[in-house]
Amino acid sequence: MSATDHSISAGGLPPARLLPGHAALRRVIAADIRPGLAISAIFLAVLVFAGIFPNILAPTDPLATDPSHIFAAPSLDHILGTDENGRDVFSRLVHATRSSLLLGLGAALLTTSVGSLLGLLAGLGPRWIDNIVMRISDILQSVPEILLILVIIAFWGASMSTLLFGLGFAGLSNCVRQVRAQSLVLRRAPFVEAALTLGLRRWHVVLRHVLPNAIKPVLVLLPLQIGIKISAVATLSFLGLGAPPPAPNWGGMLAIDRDYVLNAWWVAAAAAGVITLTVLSIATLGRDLIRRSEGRR
Amino acid sequence: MKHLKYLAWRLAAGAFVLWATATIIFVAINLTPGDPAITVLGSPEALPTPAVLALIRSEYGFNEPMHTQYFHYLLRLLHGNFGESYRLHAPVAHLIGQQIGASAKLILGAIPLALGVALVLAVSTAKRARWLTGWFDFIEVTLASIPDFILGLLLLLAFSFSLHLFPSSSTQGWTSIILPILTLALPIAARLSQVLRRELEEILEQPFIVTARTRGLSDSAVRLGHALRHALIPTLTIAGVLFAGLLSQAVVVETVFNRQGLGRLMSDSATNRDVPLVLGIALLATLVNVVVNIIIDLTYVIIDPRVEK
Amino acid sequence: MFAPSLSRANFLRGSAGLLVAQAMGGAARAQAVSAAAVLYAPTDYRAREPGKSGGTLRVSVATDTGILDPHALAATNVQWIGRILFDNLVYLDESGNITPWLAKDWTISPDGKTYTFALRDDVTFSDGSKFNAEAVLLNLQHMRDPKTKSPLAGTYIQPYASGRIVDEYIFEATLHQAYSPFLNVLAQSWLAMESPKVIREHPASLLYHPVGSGPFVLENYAPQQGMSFVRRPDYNWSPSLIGHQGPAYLDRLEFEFVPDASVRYFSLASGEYHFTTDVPPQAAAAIDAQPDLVMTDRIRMGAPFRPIAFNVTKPPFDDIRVRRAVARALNRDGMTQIAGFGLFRPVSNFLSETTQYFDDKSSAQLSYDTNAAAALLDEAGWTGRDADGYRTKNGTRLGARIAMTTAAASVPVLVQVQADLRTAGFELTLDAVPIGTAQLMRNNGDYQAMSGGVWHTNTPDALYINYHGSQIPNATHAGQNVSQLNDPQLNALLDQARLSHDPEVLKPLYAAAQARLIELVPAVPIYENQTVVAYHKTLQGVIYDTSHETPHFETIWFGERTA
Repeated sequence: MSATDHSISAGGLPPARLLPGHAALRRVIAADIRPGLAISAIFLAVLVFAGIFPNILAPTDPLATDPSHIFAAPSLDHILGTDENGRDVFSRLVHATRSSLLLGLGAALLTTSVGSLLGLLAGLGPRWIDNIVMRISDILQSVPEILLILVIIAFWGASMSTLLFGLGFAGLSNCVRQVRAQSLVLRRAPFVEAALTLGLRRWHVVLRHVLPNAIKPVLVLLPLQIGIKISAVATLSFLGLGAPPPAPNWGGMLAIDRDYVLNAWWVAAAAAGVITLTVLSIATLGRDLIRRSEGRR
Repeated sequence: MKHLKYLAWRLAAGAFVLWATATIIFVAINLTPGDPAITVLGSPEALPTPAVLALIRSEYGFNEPMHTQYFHYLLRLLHGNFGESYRLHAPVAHLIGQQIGASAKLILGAIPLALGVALVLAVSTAKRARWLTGWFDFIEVTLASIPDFILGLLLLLAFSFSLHLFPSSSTQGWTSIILPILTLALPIAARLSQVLRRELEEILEQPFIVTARTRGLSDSAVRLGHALRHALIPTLTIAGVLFAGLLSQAVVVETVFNRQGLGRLMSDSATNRDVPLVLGIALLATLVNVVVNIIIDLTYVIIDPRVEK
Repeated sequence: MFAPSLSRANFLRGSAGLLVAQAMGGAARAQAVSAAAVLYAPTDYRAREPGKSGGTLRVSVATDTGILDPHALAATNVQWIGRILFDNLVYLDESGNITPWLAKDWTISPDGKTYTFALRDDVTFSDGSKFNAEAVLLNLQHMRDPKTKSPLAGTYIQPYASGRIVDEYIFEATLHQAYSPFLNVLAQSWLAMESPKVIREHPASLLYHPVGSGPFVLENYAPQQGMSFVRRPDYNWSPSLIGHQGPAYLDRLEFEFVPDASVRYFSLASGEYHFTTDVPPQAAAAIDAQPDLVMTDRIRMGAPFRPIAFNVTKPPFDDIRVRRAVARALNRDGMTQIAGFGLFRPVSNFLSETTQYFDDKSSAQLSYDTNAAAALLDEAGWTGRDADGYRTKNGTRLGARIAMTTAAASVPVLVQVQADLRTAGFELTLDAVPIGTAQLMRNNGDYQAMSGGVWHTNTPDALYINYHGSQIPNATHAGQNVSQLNDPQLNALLDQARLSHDPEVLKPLYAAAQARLIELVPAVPIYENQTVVAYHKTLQGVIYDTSHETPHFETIWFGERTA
């Protein structure tokens, strides 16, 4: 990011918040790593490993049922016990990692990319496009997010694609507004004007100079978005609108197993723990990213 | 005059948003496959006579083409008629009126609590010993990260079922609303407190604070008298965004604590495909947001006329 | 049918067996349950001793019905709400025979088309209006009126053609054709008698302010929250069978809706509620462990739970051998344990064990037998195997998709169905579909299999509703025959059964119908449709309704340690 950063610094763009001043330097000098950050990073690394190679971590078939051993307590055979169908809970948690993370990541990317695109169009395009985008954003902001998701899922059925679509809408208008505001500022930034007067083509300036800086704040927020989406998937499952069985999914596991806390509290606790830890770790990393990008500790 | 023109423009934009919301949801719902007549009867267990099915289809206009249904629907809305719930056979306005009070109590209880907790936490911990802020930071991030319904279930398990301090369900006096309000307020308080602390820490480094201290002002006087005032404006902006999401969170809280309210009515009506009720609630929520946004914008304009471009 | 000798003792032994089996896991349970019919003791239906008046009973309920007019509802809760607010024309005895209630007596014409009821003359509704022949006439009209949008009651009396007020207390109903379940359905809570004055003047108000002649009067109804009822002091017309006359013992009833299963258990155990009408089966062991709680589970009449209903017109289930193989590949005891935690009873018949004319002779043909299932699939030509272990025929994999409505609470059972079929080499794919879509699929017959459910009615006519050829759903007729079964032999048996009131005629007809269904396997029955309630031991006089097996609140009273 050096080239653009330097040019912005050189141009002396006002919102210091978004720009790494001498923090970049400090980051190089002393890698500022706190224990919470380290734990979060390790946990996320394990999750990513589990997402890619679930069978190495948990060789037991997550779909194999055993009605004569439902809600078995944790033991050497089943380190987190078994669930309502006698399936191995640990294995299900591990095998659910990929879809849970991908759903969170996918929805966050959807929101961020669509939001950035619309924001850029509004901020840099002609007035009428700005008006259209802002009215769309008004609508999205005014309708309660959960209502939109409820309607999509209740009427179209719960599947990976409807979940992705519905969750993608959540937070979209905020993203649009942020990118638009940022690109409006950048549009008048001295370095952009300078680049234009130097005869660089408009789209080139937009692509090379405006875009990276305009979407930087939302990119910094991406990890937090992922956490929010994972938590939202769990909440939807809790409301009975999650992804369909039998493929394991954290939110779905928790939604079903909370009805069975009497029989096996550890099943629900394991799922709730994994969801909370994941969101917490991503939030910790994300916050650190923000802190660094703002040049603070 | 200029203000009036601005107001008129904002009102027109607001009306457009309402119309668009009504249209989008109407189209989204009507594009989905399904037999709405069965919804009117309540459940798949329904075993209506053919005469009942025929009557429902003609009474609700299910036989008509979609554009006719849409036209009738808009016409009714213009007359202030939100229609009748499919499932509950009562006017939508009446049903919303029945539930809105409970949600309002919950939300109006949560907002001051969230603000209060955030203020106390941030003001008392900003720029303190690193281990102290570290711990508070950890608790706040955890509270902000934990899904609302898990927090609610944990509070229920701890305070209701183990300690028997509060009832688990809802009509027994004021004590029943405490846990739901906490569930709603704590995550917001945690997020607000983080923003506020960050602002405070920045401001406490500013020269004018140092000047204030050298004038001999006590620490709390500096924090409350000087720093807080400056930190409040960005915090309130964030608070506005967070509070706008309260209705969505109310759905979860009302479900966990089995409370009456608009949130539950909304999720029930969506899962039961009760189209008029879904539309009614969507329009109401949109209307509230539009009005609130207009008021906020007008306040800005009155405070700082430059905002009006 | 139920021999009187086979009764309490036998049933108790069955229950004890259940507890043991519950401790040991599902497998042992099958042996503990005898194959014989269950008969609940007559004392379960009759108040035994006079009780003490007074007190407010607090009850938790899983779901709200949204509205309260029984004629406009199909909801399960109506079964007991009906007995609180309303009365019916007739009442069943514990064997399914009809006994008097608001109708003192009745005669049926030889052609089975005319019913003449002699009514009680001392009954009033809580708004002061009188119960008489006109009230019956208005009620039947209200059920049938399309404007009522009745999802159940209207269809149950569909053969009813017209009524005539012979004199103030004599009512004559004429049917289009003979329909022997007529009296049975009139005993069900959905067909309760409402105030004629309200029906005439503002029928829509019945949705939120139902007015009946029952032992309690609605005090307040807060949707999604709860409802409360107060005793009616001048009530004096209970069915004689319940062994109690005069007003109810309790002053007030307070019901609250508590959808969360765990919260329902904890709040009962902590004493927040005295009673719950919906025990989550998974709480069975915890409730058993509490000495001051009583729990009862009872089998409702009608059709048992069928997790899978085949579309017999579409491959692969148009092949009767594949249907039978699927039925035999399912480990009924395992699924029953998963859903019932030792409370439910497995069943391999299309009628529940407590239904009149239940016949168990051929149900062994559907018993769990993986070898038999394999032989049937071989015979049907599914002899190949692919890389994943599924059976194939001419290169196609043996499998099907089942549409399950997202609201179905039986997901763990369907997951087990899928797992058992996987073992048999059959790939079952679970498709979660919204209710509206499912309805459309039903109307068009456009599915291979559908998640079934239960069908409770207090007569073996449940078979007609579920499997008669005339009950196949389509756009104008929302039938329940999702198996799309149209078997002339079965249709004839069920048609004939609707013509007769003679037990000697009905018994062989229904026995033959059950045997025929077991041959055809349009669905797989797995376990009984049961109602499970629990309450604190201080409560006395808890008896059950003969039609619905749900509790009767009018005879409940607080014993010594009033909570």
